[in-house]
Amino acid sequence: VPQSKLPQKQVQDLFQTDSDPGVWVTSLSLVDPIQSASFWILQVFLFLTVLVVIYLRIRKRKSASELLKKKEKVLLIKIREALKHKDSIGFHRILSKSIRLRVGIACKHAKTHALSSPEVVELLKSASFSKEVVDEALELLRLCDELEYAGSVTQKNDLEPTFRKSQSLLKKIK
Amino acid sequence: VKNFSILLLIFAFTQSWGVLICYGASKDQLFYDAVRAEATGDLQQAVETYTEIKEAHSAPLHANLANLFYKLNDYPLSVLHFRKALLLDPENREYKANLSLSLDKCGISQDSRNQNILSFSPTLYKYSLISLSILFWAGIILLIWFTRFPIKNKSFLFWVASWLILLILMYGFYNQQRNTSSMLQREVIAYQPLKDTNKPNDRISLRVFAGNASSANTSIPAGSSLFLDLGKNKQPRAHTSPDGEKWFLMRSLCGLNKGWVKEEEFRPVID
Repeated sequence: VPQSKLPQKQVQDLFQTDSDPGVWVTSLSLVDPIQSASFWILQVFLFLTVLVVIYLRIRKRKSASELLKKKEKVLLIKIREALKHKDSIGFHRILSKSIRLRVGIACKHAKTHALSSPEVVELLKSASFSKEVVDEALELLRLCDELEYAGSVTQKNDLEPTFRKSQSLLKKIK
Repeated sequence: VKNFSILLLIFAFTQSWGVLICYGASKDQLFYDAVRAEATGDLQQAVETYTEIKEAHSAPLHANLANLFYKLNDYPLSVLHFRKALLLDPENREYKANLSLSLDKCGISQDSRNQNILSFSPTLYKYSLISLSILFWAGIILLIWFTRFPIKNKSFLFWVASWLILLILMYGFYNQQRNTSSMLQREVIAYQPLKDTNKPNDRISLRVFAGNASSANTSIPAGSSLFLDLGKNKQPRAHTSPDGEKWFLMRSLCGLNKGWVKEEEFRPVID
């Protein structure tokens, strides 16, 4: 409704005098916020926050890779112990874990322990590893699965060549 | 010497406080005097008292002045002071309604009013820039923290796209505010002194060249917004005529109407 068509009573209600001076300011001029010091202080603070986040991220990544290396070492010790005690089931279980861990590091996949053997092999293929490496990994993982879950009768003497084969494979997956 | 310097310090301290208190009190005192003058029906005296307040602004001060000019039938000045009041208190609905009525009285149509400028809030402008920068940096921080290569997670891409869209929208809003702010810096209200004509709806000529003898390109009602045309050096394009009058090149809101206007024929919104 145009203001001029408002009822006279409503118009009279407008234009009322304020009896309180309110808040005084010295100027009406508009200050461009981009030129204010507080804005740039905020920017510097946020930029420093970004630098801190980058630093923390790098540190976290470093510590994560160190943790994985430690895990690998522990698994190698356990494999050797299983080999020493001729614990076939334990040996193959730990060997499977070790291969998955190495594939996880090489292919930058955090949860290779949750993948099935064919999925791990697919991961290797997608990371452009040679067919020889992929085939070897598939063969070893199948063997580990069979001996760990199928409860096959184990030839305890076969553990040593499997161990050597696995070590050569782990060296290739880098 | 020690006692003397202590006394000098105390004297300086009390004097500076005295000056500050007197300055604050004088502004308030003048304001109350003007309100009292208006209450007794002496509108002209009230206007004079308000205009004695120098280098200090408040929304009620400008709103009261605008009310007085409206009651004195000086509608362009009423528009000018409502605009100043709204700069300090952009959300005040009473000021907005009064401004609308003053613009009606000046004969300015609804189409000629720029709502972006009329509803501009300096606080919103400031916060739009701060929000934009926080959104930008927060996105960067989250991106650094959560990005894992190779990116396979589709929801991650969705969040990145959402962030970018939000950033563009926010920048668009900020840019609009910045443009409005820039226009406001150049905005003036066309004005014809009441004592010369005593007619409420005077028109201001936008002349072809800077001189009284020039014909007009067009004319606009007093109380309309005009915008100072800037030269290459980002300064208003001005010209001083041989008789010493200063002229400025102005454009209307839509930019179609332009012409030279005398210095006394306008009042800047932000001075």
